[in-house]
Amino acid sequence: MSTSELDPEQPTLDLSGVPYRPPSGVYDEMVDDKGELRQGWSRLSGYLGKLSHTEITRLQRETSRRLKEQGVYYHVYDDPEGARRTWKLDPLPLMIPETEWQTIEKGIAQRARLMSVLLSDIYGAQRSIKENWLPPEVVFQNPGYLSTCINAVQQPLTIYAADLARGPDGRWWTLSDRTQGPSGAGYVLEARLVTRQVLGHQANGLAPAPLAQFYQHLKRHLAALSTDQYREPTIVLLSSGVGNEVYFEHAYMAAQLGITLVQGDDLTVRQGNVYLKTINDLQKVDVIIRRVDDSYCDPLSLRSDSMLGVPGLLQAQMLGKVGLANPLGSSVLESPAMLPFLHLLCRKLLDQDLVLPEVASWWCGQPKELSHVLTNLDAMVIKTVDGKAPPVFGASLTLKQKDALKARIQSRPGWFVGQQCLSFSTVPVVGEQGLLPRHMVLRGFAAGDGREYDILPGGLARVSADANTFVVSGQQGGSSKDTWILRSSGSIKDVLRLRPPRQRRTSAAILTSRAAENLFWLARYNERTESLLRLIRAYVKRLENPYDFGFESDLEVLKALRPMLSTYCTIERDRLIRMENVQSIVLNHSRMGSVSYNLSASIRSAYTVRDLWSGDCWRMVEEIEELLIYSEKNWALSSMERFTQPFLGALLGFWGAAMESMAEEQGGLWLELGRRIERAVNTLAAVVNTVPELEHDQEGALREMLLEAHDGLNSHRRRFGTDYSYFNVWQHLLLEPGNPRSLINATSHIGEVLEQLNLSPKAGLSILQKQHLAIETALRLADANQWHSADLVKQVLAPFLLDIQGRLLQLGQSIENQYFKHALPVTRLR
Amino acid sequence: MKTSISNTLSPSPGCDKPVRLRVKHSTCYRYAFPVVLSYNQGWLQPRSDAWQACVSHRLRVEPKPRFQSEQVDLFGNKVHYFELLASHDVFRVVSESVVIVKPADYAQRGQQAWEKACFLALPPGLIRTQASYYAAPTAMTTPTGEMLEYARISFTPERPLREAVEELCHRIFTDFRYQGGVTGIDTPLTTIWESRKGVCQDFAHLALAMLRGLGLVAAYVSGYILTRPLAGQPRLQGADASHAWFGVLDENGEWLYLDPTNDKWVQTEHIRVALGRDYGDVPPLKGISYGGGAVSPEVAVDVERLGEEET
Repeated sequence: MSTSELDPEQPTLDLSGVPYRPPSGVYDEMVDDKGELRQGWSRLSGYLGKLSHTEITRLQRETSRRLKEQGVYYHVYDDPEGARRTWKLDPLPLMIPETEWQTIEKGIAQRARLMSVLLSDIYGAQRSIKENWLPPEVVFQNPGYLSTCINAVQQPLTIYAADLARGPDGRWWTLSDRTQGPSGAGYVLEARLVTRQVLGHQANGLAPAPLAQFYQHLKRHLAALSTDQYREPTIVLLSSGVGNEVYFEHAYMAAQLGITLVQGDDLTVRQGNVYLKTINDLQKVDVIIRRVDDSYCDPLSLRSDSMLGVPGLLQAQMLGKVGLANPLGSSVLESPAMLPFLHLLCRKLLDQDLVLPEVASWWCGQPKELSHVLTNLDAMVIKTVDGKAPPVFGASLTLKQKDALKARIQSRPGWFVGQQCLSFSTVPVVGEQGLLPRHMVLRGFAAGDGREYDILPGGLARVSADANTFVVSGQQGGSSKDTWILRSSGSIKDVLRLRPPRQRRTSAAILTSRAAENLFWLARYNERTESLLRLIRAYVKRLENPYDFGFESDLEVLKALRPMLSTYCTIERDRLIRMENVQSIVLNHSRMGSVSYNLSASIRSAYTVRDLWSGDCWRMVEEIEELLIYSEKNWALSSMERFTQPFLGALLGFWGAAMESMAEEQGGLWLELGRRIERAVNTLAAVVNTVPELEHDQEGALREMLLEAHDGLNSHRRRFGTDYSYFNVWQHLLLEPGNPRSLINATSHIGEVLEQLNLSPKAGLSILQKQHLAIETALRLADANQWHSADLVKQVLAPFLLDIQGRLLQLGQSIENQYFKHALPVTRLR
Repeated sequence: MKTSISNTLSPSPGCDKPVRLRVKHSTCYRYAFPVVLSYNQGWLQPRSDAWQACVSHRLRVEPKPRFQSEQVDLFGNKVHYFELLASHDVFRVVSESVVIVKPADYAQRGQQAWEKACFLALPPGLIRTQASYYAAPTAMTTPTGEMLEYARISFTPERPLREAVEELCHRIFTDFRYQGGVTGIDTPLTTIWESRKGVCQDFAHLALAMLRGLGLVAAYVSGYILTRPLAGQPRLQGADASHAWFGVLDENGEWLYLDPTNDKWVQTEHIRVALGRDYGDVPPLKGISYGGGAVSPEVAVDVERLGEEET
């Protein structure tokens, strides 16, 4: 905001010499109209006052750094910077004194209760409609009302959120109700963590109400939805997947609550019950936190083009066999057309007055309201009944646009709602020029059983991207803030209503078939990349000085490389591998098998199972991704070494962190299995592909390269010196159990994993174990003496390896078939 | 050869008494590949209300469902749900019912100016509540300006609803050509409008869009019509499969049902299975199957007149 827009009469507050000037005519959260600090802000502003301007902006950088490090993302659709973007958080929390919070808290709980009662009414007795408290069109003309659900939504609204704004008079107003799968409660937790870290001990004197207990309450309310109260309930979080704008939060909440993160095709309905597809069997699901919109949840009964849902899910809910938080059908409550009627409904259904009334709203389906909206269009925000169209600010339209809008409203009045354009309060955020005022909306959260609600003591304050807009969407570049509820001094009363937690545990998160598959493939991609990078490193070294390695020229090096390289990606037969091709093999992410292609696939898999990684692991994933971006920008063949080494380091670092932090049954086994199978497959393929070239390899240069590419050169030298005789090379690369990179070493690790996966070892070997035993036995019985000349290599070794290769591919296929239960293509019947 | 609609609302021949009808509706999918899992929902059981009584209904599904249940939807229709968990190549659903249909006395309905039957003119209460289900245009029934102009030729100010809707129905019958196979359920209404051809669902949707666009309350009706006509009567269109028409609510909350495909008032030749806002609310059968490959069903409908009932 430029200074010219500021009212010179408006009082300012100087913090470390930088004036903070909220615009006139709005309520500022920190400073009152006399320029004095409001209650609760003195300690924070005292702290800020001691900081220099640079130190204040450093707070912002520090916040961003920590969020980035912890992988806190927010997806911006159609973003040129890529799908993921670090979530934006302002380091300064919003302060709300406890006395004021008590009213807000009461208001949120009341609205949550009202919404829950209303939900069961509109799908049940419909008293509110029969008594004419609510016009029927508001309910039945909303596509969110599910006509098949009548008399079949018996569940309460477990999770509720309200978007609140403060008007110029200092009162809080409700902008909208969030009743489907409100997002933000996970970001709040992360915001608290980072804000406290960044403000450090300076903020320790302040005691914001703690948040953790809310999540325990939430889990308790979720568990209570289970129909089987004698068993630990299985709770899952249904996400639409990595494409969702708040996918980070889906994964984060699942990890925080200790529940399983799933997508639609992880679940299946059988006899009206919902089951989770795990590695071994179908496991009954009792409760689902739903983060997918109503209409996408069931392709049978709702939108048939949805790929995100579970056929039969609506039926399961209607039969009362699964608890949904929140129930399908609850989106209708979010309609802005409901708002004007909630006053009366609250009085009639709860016998109370609304504590947090809505911003004045008019549903145009009534003649008086319609004409009011049309005559006062400049002071209105126009919304549609389904809440899906972006709000239109009347004042921002040209005359022509206004006429067009009026005509649209008049052609279908019942579809539109006018809401008074409220000047939201401002709050200071850290900007390059110091503290800047930004408009703010506060999202508050409730969890309950339909009667009693626990309120999160805090919330997500979302601020506008600039001073002139009231739009606070993250999609529009806005940022967020933590909210601190400050207890009045000396008060020991907890803001939360404390209840002894019931002695009821929920089962630990279960590894889904999808998670296992992602881990398996992630490990395979990483291993493949590791081998490819080693090969490229070996190649570049030789290219620089061919004679040192026994090659006649760099052309020979190129020729020798081709068969080995073709293990990883398709190399055109009649073309030499030129340097620019090497660049493409590393960085062309649309080239199948390139380093960039493999790592992108691996990162995608890692993100799909985001909830499973420890902090250290995730940091390595981030590092790999950053390396990719850096390499693309700074590529030069001459400095190839500078690229391969950090990649290899990060991949090994990831592997180490993963194996150190991930329990075997939580996925470690699948990483191990994927890695070893990939290694065995690659080693075999590299040798098989190189065999035809070996007859020209008198000096052993090719064999040396083969060893080096498989990280076996050093161990080979210690054992055999520089004698690259066939016996030595084959013994070391294929048959030496003590060489961790040998083929036989990889296959024996595979055997160990398969043994652990065998659920009934007493019944003997599993089919997979039998397939493996054939490979293992063949390798153990083999003798490298039989392959000691170029001729023998061609006549004996090659067919032997081809046989092993076939069996190994078969084993990989069997593993996929058994554990990753690929869904058949869907046919829609109509 | 198109027959003109009679100006006097005499009941259809031989139906001044309730009629007993038997329906057999079978749907069969033959898959190219086995289906291992299938979820289905059907609106197949005829309604029972003041006009008609479904005296028996039997649903046979092959292979035998491992699980089934039934509910009643917002519009009062029976909805069947079933799961097929065994691998199968052929999926067959046969719905058989016996229904007694009473003749409707349309002479008493829709006598007032059509404006009085508009949703906004209805007094609050039960009628208005139930009317609200059917009042708003849906995605499948959104009228264009041209469609409204077309409708206003019949819906002149103050004209009695019955007269106006009868004429509109007749005009749709005259101006649009019945042609199977050119439209599907995804065909937009504007395409039907421009090509001037379609099938029963399309004509019903077209009428609904116009009536709702005028502010009236109109319902999509799915059902069956007599397969074998009475002696001396022409065979009706849409008799080989599920049929569809529309109803419009009058100022007293009574339905006037018309069949624009056959240019007929709905009498004892029609069996109403389900009422909804459009096809999407009440498809006879829909499902999600795993496996199978693209298939189109073989559908057969047979409606037989068993005889008249004593009143």
